[in-house]
Amino acid sequence: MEKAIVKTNSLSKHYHVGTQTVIALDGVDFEVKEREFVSIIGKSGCGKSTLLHMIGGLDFPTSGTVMVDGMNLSEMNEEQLALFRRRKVGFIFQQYNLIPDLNIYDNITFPLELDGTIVDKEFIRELAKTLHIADRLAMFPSMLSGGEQQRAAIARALAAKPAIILADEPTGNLDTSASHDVIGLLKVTAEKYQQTLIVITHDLDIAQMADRTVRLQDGKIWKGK
Amino acid sequence: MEGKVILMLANNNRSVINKLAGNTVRTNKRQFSILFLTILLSSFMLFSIFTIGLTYLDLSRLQNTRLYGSEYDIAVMNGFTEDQREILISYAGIKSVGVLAYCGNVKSSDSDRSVYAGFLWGDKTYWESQKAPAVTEMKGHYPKARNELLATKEVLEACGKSSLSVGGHLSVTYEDHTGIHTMDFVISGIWKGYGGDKANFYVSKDFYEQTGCDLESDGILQVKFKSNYVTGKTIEKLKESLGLSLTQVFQASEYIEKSLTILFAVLGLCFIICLSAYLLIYNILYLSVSGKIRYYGLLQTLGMTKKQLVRLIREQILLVGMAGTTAGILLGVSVSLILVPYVVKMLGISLGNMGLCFYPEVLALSILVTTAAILCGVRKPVHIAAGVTPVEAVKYRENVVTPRTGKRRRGSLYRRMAEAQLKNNKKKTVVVFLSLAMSLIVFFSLTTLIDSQGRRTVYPNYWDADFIVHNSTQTAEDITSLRSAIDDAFLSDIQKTEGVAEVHAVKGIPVTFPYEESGFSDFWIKGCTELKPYLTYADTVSEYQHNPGKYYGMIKGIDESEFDYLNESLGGIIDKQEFLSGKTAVLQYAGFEISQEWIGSSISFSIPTEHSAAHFPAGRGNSFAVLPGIGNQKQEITVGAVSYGDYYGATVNFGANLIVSETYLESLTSKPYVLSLNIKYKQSYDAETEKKIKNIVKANPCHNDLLSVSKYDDMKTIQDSQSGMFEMGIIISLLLLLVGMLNYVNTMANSMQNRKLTFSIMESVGMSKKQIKRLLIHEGILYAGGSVFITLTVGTGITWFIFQSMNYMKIPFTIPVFPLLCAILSVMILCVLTPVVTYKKTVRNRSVTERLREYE
Repeated sequence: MEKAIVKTNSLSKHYHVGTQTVIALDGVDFEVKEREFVSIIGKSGCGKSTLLHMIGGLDFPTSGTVMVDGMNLSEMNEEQLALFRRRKVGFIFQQYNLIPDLNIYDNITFPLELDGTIVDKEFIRELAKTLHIADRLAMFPSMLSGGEQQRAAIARALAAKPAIILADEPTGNLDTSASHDVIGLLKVTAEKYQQTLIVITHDLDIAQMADRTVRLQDGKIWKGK
Repeated sequence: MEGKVILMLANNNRSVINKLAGNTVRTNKRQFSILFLTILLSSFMLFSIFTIGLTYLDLSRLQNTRLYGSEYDIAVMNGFTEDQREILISYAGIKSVGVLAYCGNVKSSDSDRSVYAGFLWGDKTYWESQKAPAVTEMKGHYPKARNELLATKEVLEACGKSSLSVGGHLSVTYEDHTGIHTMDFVISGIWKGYGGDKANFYVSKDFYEQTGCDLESDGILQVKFKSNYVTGKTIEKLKESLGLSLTQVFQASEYIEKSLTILFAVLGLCFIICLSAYLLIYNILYLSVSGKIRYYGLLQTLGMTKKQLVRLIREQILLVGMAGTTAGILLGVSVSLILVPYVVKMLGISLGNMGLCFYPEVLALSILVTTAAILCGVRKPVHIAAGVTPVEAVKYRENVVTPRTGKRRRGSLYRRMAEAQLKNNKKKTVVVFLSLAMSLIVFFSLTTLIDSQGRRTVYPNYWDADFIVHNSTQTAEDITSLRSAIDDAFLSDIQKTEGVAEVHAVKGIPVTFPYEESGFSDFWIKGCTELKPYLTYADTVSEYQHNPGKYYGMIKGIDESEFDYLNESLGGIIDKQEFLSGKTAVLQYAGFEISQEWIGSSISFSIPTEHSAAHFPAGRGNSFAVLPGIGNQKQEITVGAVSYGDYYGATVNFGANLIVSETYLESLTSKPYVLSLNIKYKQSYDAETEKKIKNIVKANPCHNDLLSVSKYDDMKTIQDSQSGMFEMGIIISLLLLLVGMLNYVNTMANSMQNRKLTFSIMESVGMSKKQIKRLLIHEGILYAGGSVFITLTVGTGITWFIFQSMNYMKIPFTIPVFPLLCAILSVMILCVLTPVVTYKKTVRNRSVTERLREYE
């Protein structure tokens, strides 16, 4: 049996908005196995993105722990978390979040260059070919369509061959056909590079493409009535 | 079916827009504070710089007045006619026409047998209008009666009567155009102030009229224009209108001749300052409005028309602009009219009669430029905001500029990203470069100008000596008058003084030139009698033949180093070996034209012996001894050149002065008099060495017969006349630099606000804060490098141009390396640190998620 690559234990996150405290995550125990494709669904504000950000080391929990590949993220400092994000996870955002000053090739290789590793140009070209953006590498993000930008963001997430791909509504800004293309490509590449895939989505069709679907409600894992 | 048309009916929505504009500004204080600060700094800069700048210009003119001794723009010398004076008085652009005349020189007083001082007479306009700005204190009154003198402490000291006060009596022997007279005078007044006339007495009109002097041949007309800026054409026209004779000299001051160029240079500087203010406001306005495009898009989505949106943005900017301008002006008033005078007072700097005062035109200009900058600067961003559709607005990102080429850049990641940041937002980059460079350029120009003003303190004295001591025992007609006021012990004390690098002595002995008809002595008599109207050629020749000692000259020996300097000043025309061996001498100019026929000619002289030891008091006069076989024997030497320098002291004798080599002099006398000492310090203007030298001079028993010239004292005098001008200039330069730097901080703070999302994205994909800081340091270095490059290239050109335009003193152009280096270093440190610090402040302790959420 595959071992758990992601494990959260009583994970809670509270935000303070004015005088109010918003409970985004409330004691979440969650596990994802290696090479598993998990989709997370739930209503807006239920804590999906917060959970994904906790797993990706983008945010700090109020209480509880996040273990990724045997590492306790709560014990890491900012520098270590940056290294973790660069090497262990690949993020895909709904807004693509490409860096506007860099062309697509530089955007894709950005995490590798941050790490000072030699870029495997052949791999990048193959990745771009797989994602149908090989002819867009010299262009800047603002020159590309939404679907192309999202595929570039996927390429960036995969470039460092991370163990885990975290996608936060990657198809939120795409039409149905492009959405299925993107998820299909994600699934294919994740399988190809033996990666764990966690996708947040509102689209039940996409959720059904996953090995397992987890539903969040009011900051907790919904376990059914 | 007919299509429906929605009609826009006029309604009063001004109040809702006003309310919205006010609310937006109140609730977005943080974002609008940067715009507010920029406008505040710009109006503050304009107000303070122009207020202090105007005072600086006034001080600069006051310095000229003090250096020249009175306030005038044009002098008509060598006499004038009453008609010419009338023409000048009736000339519309002229403020005052004063009359000044030299009318005699003091030869001795009842306390000092050798005095170097002159008699001057000035009319009421001269004294009360033109001289007044250079007079700081006046006791008593200008001479009215014939026997009254107006003195300074300096001239009284020269007469050996420093204790005299107003009403005191002084007996002097003086020479005028009618002859040599002795008269008892009453001191009618004592004045303190500035000018070369401090070594002279002012006399009454009655006294002047009986000196034999004539305004038509000796008078000077001093003309002051109403305006400080006059064209060359006006000066030329004025000159032509006077119909000057061949002997009259029309001399415009260097300042007034260059005044129009100076005005243009000042206006050029003002333009750069205004442009710099405009660029800063424009840049921040652009960044400020484009940073709120999403919000404006939202308003459009809710039904706001483009027209209403434009009005809203304008009202927001107007509110912030009014507040910023008011605050800036108030800050300017506090700094320039309260803080700066306070600091100046605390530092003990005298501004003389000048003070920083409120100029309404400066206030108007500051408001005008700031308002114009806001109105012009707001047009483009408003156009962008109104042109973006609501959907585009949601996706709008300020720093997304589609590059023309997708070509991949080479170099390290940080360098590529930093370059991309600068290249992709060229407008912002150019504005930042220009605003920083302009601050540096204005600083560069001002420090160069101020530094050149400072360098006016260096008087071009002979050989740039730090201290010169002259033996002033000599009188004009007595060949036995010279005393050994500078002896070996004194010379040795000076040489041994710590801090003294070199001491060069000019030595000499009196000589007589035998009368030869049509010979050298005859030529000399003709020249001298032209200068002294009371002497007739025939009588002088007759007396000369009977008593040549009365018309004695001097032979002065200089060392090899001094010869090298002298020869260089003469253009190297003298053969060194011939000079050193005593074949050639240099003839010293005495005030009349020396014909070229004497260059290369041999002249005779002899050293009388009969007057020697008997005339001198014991122990003081016996230093002069003629070598055996020399006394009263005819000697010959060839004139190699004429020196027009007035350094070689003791020039009161009627006869000629011959400069020869020290070796040659020693072949004539075993022990000559030391006439002057030329002292050079290891460190120029060294106060400690100066003090020691002055103490040695004071301790000399003959100190009353020593005349000292100190470069240190000259520097102090001129520094005093500058009246805090230097400090004012430094304050302006520093203010400008500070404002430029603050504006860079402001621009960067705004830029960081607008790039928050990009940084968050970078962090989300694994860039550490340390790496972001490295990237920002790279950007800072590029900004600093670019600005410094512009400053050192274009800036040097601009500075040179401004300097030359204002350089009426003909001072060589020198870059003030130290202040410029300090400014460049400060700018570099600031450029590197600002992005890092502002990034840190922008990020605070919020997680990447929190920061990313702001944009969702």
